[in-house]
Amino acid sequence: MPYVLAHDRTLHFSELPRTPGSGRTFSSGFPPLDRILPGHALSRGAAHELLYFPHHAPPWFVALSLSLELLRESKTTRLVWFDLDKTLNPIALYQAGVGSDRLLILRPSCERDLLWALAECLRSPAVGAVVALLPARLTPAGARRLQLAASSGATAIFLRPHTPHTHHHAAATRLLVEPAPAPDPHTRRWRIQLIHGHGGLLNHPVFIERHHAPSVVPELIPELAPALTPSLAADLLHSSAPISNRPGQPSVQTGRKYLAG
Amino acid sequence: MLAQARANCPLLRVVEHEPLADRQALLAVARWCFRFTPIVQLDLPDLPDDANLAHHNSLHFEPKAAHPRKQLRTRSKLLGFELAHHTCLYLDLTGSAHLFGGADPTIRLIQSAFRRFCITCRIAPGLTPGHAHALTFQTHSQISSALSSALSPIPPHSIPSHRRSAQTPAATSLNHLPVAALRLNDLLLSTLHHLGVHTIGLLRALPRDKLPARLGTLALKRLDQLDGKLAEPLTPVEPFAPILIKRHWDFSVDSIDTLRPVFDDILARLTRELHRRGRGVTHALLTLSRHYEEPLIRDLRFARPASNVKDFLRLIQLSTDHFTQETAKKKGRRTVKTNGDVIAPAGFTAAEIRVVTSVPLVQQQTQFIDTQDEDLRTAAVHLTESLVSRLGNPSVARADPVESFLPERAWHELPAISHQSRAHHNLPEHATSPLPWLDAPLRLHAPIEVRAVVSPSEDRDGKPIQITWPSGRVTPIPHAVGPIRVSGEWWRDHTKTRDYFHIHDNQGQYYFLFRVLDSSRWFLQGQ
Repeated sequence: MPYVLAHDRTLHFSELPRTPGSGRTFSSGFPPLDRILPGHALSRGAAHELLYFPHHAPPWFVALSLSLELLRESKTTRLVWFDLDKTLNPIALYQAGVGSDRLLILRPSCERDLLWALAECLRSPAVGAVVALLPARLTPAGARRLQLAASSGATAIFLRPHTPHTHHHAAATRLLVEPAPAPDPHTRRWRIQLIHGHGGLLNHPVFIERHHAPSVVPELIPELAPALTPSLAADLLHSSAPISNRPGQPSVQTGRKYLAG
Repeated sequence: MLAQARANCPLLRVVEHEPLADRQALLAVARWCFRFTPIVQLDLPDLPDDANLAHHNSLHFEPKAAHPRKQLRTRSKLLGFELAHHTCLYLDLTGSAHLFGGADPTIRLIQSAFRRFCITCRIAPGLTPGHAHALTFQTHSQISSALSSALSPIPPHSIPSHRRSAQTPAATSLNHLPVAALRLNDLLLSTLHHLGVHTIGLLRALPRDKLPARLGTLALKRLDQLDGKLAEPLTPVEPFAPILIKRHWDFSVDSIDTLRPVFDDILARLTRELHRRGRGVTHALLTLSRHYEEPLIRDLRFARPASNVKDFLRLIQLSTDHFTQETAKKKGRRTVKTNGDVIAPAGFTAAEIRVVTSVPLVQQQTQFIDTQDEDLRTAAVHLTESLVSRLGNPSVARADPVESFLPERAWHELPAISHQSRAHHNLPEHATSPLPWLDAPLRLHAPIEVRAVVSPSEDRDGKPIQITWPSGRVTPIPHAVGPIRVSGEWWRDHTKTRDYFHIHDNQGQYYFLFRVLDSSRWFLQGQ
């Protein structure tokens, strides 16, 4: 996945060694994030919380990225998404590779049903990952119940507002996620710090970025364009980098770029 | 051919023929006719071998159903089917006509009922099935006269001896009818057409002993059936027998846990009946009756056809879990005060399970199946059933992609437990990846109108540089990607063209924004 991450400097994803996920852990997909995590990975069969400030939008995309990494290394590929406010766009998940047969959307009507359904999904061996937005207040019993349920089966990624009421939690790791100003239009950036996790680098913020691969269709100038071989065509379709920057290809002038559609 | 028909008639509505659905609908009509007589036969053309007739217990023909459009669709299919294949219903009114005041009032009743259902049909009373079928080719007055002549007591000695054994008066009166009235197949009808044999009378005039050799046995058989010389017993449609297991008791039971032996008994009877029929339940209703209170009704939906006690018990336990907690809260309450101030004991007095939908059980070989995968599949099925039992079917959903350019229409939400095909939901069998060029936002909500400042301001294709929220808050937009132009789906009365933008504010928050090209109004649709 075309992630670029940075602490103080921008590094390309391919430059960094990828943390291999063992049987009980999985990589977050963001190597600097892995560095601050306990054991340089996230535990499988545990709950992980992504905290966000109430004036920000919940970091759904980070939750999706983590669950995709989890599902990629998991035998059970079913993703359960709790969509309480009915705003989930399943097409985004579909484009990320989660087909309709792997996705289950749940909308419990009350908090009691939410906790019951969470526990039920976490206990099931058929579920690989659970993504849910939890309320700020959670009773100690409810938190413990979720923790026990997660330890017996699936991995949970909870999103919770970061308020003074979020003392009780069921998470093995808690990450505070904030959006950060992006350097360019095609990049989204988040600032993440570990605020709970035994053995991790606490309060050491890292930045993760995601580059949009804009669907730019380069308009080739006919007289300067090379013969459009199948390999070049495939390259054009799958690469977002400017054509002139790619090694091994003749320099090509690109004309006006426009977005398809 | 279709294009030519459409050119001649622009308002022509084309509906694909669904023989299986037609067959089910006709079966429902046949069952509806049980109110006139218990013996109803349905004559249908043979379906292809690969057609599997799914038989749902819930299939009824209810003219007063809550979905008139659906009923109308069924009716229009019936009409086409009947005209194309001469589908027939035979009702044996022997012994039941007097209940409706005689044969004529019964026929009038059936006629008026079918007229109300908008089913175009021809109804004729006959002495035999073949006779009745032939009479449907006559007009109403001809039917009356033919029937009266058929029923008139003609003394046997008044018929010439050489005709007495050959034809009855009823059969003779049908000689002018076309040979199609004899229920012959298309090949035979074509042969008779080429031979110039157009009426039953002409066919009768052919030497009887040479008919089998020249035309096969069917023509002679049909003639004999018309004359009543060959018996034609009706094969009645199997009556609809709902599976309903119920048990009452004289006292009231206030705890569901105490009802466990009752459930065991009911489920044992239910599974016995299911095994006898070779069916599995996909949807059932559990009803627990109470004194002076609304009965407790729970939906039991199964992702796989269920036919064993264990599956039922698991869902019953889950679906009544809420109620157990409620009763635990009201532990001290043992009586219910009714409107008439009668103190009645609180608790359950009866339990019943009604099968709403069942499907034939398919025997599956499991020896060579990977047991680990099968275990995971079973676990997934159990999880879905548990969630649906507790949360309700609409709260557990899956989303299927639909080919649409509008982001909010690019998927169709289906219940997690749905035994209906994608075609039933007007979805194509294999949807391709929708919006391959659009980086879809993860959250999509109803459009919220915002005000935007664009740059360059004179350009209608300009990008937003600042948006003003409905609350008046102003947000500068340093980064915007777009426009991604999406034309309206004019075939759905959506003609507006939209320009989509991915934008970020100064804090890095992401929004999905679009401008309606015609009105230059801006809407926020996702985050």
